[in-house]
Amino acid sequence: MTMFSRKASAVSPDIKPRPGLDDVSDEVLEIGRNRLVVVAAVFALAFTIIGGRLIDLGVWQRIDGGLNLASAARTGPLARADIVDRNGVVLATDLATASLYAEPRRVIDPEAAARKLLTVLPDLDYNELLGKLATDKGFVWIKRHLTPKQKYVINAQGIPGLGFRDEHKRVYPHGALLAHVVGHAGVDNEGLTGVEKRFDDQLTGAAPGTLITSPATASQPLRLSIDVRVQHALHEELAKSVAEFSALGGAGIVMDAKSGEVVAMVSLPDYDLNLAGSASSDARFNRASLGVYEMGSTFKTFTAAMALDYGTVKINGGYDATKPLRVARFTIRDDHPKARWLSVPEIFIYSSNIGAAKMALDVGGQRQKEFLDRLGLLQRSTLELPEVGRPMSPSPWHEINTMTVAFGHGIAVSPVQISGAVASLVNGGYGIKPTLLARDGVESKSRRVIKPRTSKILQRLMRLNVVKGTGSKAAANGYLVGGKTGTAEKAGRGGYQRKALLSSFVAAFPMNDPKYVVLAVIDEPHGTKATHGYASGGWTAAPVVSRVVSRIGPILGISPVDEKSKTVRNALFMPVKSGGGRVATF
Amino acid sequence: MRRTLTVAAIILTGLMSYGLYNMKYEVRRLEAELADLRQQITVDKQGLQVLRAEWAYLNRPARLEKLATRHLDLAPIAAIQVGSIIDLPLLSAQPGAGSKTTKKSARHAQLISSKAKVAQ
Repeated sequence: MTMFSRKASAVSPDIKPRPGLDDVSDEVLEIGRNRLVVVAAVFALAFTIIGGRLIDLGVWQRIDGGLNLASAARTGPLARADIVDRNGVVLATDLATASLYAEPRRVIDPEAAARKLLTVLPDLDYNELLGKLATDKGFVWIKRHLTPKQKYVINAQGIPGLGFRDEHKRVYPHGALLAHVVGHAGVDNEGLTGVEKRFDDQLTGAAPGTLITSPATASQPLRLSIDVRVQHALHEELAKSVAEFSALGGAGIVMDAKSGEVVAMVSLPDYDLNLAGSASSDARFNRASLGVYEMGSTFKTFTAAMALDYGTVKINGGYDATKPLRVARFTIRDDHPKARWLSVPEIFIYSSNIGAAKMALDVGGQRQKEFLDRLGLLQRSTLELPEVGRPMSPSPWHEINTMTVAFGHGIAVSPVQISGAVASLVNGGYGIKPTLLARDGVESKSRRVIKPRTSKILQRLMRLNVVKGTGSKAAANGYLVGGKTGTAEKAGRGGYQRKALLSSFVAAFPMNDPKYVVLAVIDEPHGTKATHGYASGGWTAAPVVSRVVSRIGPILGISPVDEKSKTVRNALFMPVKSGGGRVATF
Repeated sequence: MRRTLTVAAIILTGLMSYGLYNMKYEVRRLEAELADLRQQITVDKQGLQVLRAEWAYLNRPARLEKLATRHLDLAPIAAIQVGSIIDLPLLSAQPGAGSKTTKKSARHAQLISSKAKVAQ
C-alpha cells in the first residue's frame, strides 16, 4: 500500500492542483489505474517467462530418448551378446521366452489352478505345485522358460493370480560340441563356466559393477578363434578313439602355430550345454586346460630343442645308452632299449629316456628351468578361460628332477601348455600365447624363444619321427605331419601304475612350414587286438592325429604335397648317425 | 476499429485452438504408430534371433555330415585329388613330341599316370 501511495505522490507534481471533491475522486482513479498497470505488467512478465520456457523446452531442449527408454524397458530383462566362431557361426545366443509366476495371495482356488496347470505342464508335481499356490506369499516362480505354445494355453485358461514375465534364455545350438570352450550361463543370466564366465562383463555389455540399461550395448557378438568344422572333426575322431580303447576320457587341441589361436579344443567326456545342470563333475572337468598331467616323452621335444639351442650337443652328437642310469635310489631305463650309443635323432625317434636325461644333465638344471619357463610351461597358461590349471613343477629343482623332467616325469602341465610350447618351437622360434579370441592369424613375432636354426632342426626331427620312428601312425599322406609320442604312467597310490597310462601325441603340419599344431591325449586307454594290446601314444593317440589332420587339412586350406617328391624330402632331410658311425638315411 | 480487432482476435484464437487440437492428436497418433513400429521391430528381432539359432542348430557339422553321407554321392577330398597347375603336363610331353621331352614334364606325366592309377 505504501508503495503505491508513494508512487502517486511522485506523479502528483506533474498534475495540476485540483482542489475540491472532484480532486479527491480523480486521485482515487489515478491510483486505481496505476495499480492495474502494475498488475498487468507482472502478468505479462509471467506469461513471457512461461512462453519463453515453452519454446526453450520445445525447440532447444527436446528429450530425444524419452520414448526409447520406454521401449527399451519393454524388451525385457538383460540381454546377453552372442558368441560366434571365427566364421560367424552362432555358438551361443539369447532367445526371448516367458516365465510363469504366481501371486499365491490372489489365487482363488489353488487346487483347481494346480489341476489345470498340470494339463499344460505335466512335468510338474501336483503336491509341490499345490504347496506353492496355497501359501500366502506374494510371488513364486512356477516354471521358467515356457514354450510359446504352453504360454498360449495357460493364457487361455485364464487362472487368476498367475502371470508371465518376459525373460531371456541362453541357447547353445551346438549342444555338447563346445562344452568346455563356450561354457554355460545360469538361469539368471550370469556366466558360470568357460568363455561365458570369463567374458561375462563384455557379454552383458557392462563394465564391472554397473547396471545395464540398454540391451543395445550388448549387441556386438564375441568372436572366438574356434572353427566349428575343425572342432567337429577333432571331437568326432577323439571320441571314436576314446570309445575304441575304452578310455576314461581324452583331450585334443588344434592350434594355429603362428598366432596361438586355438582353432579347436575338445575335452571328453563332455556334456550338453543346454542341459548343463544335470552334467556330472567328470564331464564338466576340462582336461584340455584345467587338467595337469605328467606328459611323458613329448617333453623330449623340449629337451632336444633346449640342448640344441644352448649348443651343449650337436645334431650329430649323442650319448651312451648302454646301461640304465642309476641316480640315488632311482633307475632310469629305456622302454625299448637299444643298449648302445645313440645320436640325438635316434634318442628322439626311439624315445630314449637315458639319452634325454643325459642331454638335460649337460644343459644343467638352472638353464633347463629357464628354458621351460620361456616356453610357458612353468606358469599358468594365459588362455582366456576360468578353468586353467596351474602346472606342478619340482621345488627345489634337484639333479634327479632335471633328469626326469627331461623325459616328462616329475612335472605336470596342461595339454594347452604343451600345444603352445610346441607351437613356439616349430613356428620359427617365436613365443606364442594360446588364445581363444579370433586374431585372424596375426602372427606374434615379438618374443624369440629359440634360434631359427634350432626350429628348423626340430621340424626335421619331428618329421623324421613320423617317417621312421614311434609316430609312424600319425602320418597323413600329403600333409607332412611331424610329431612326438608320449606315454606316461599315471601316478597313483604307491607310485606309478603300469596299467594306467596317459597316452598322447603332439604334432605339427605341414612340417616344411608348420601352420597348425595338433595334440591328442587319451586318458587311460586299454590296448585292443588291433593294437596287439599296446596302449602307448604311438598306438592310440597318433592315429587320432592322422585322421584329424587329413580331415582338417582341406578345411584349413593347406595344400597337400607329394610326400615322395625329391624336393619335399630334401627340404626335410635329416641324416641320422647310427651306432657304428655310419649314416643311415631315412 | 476496436470491434474489428476484437473479432479478429476471437477468430484467431479459434483457429489457433483448432490447429493446436489437430496438432496434438496428430502427434499422439504418430507416437502410437512409433510405439507400434518399435514393438514390431522388437518382435521381428526376436524372431530373427530364433531363426539364427535354428539355422545354427540345423547346420551342426554332425547333422550335415549325416545328411551328406545319406543324400550325396560325395566324399571328403583326399590329398591325392588336389593338384596344382604345375602338375599339368606340358604340350611337348605328349608321346608324339619325340625326344624334346624335358625332365620336368616327364616327371609330371609320370605323376599324372600314377594319380590316374590311384583313382582307378
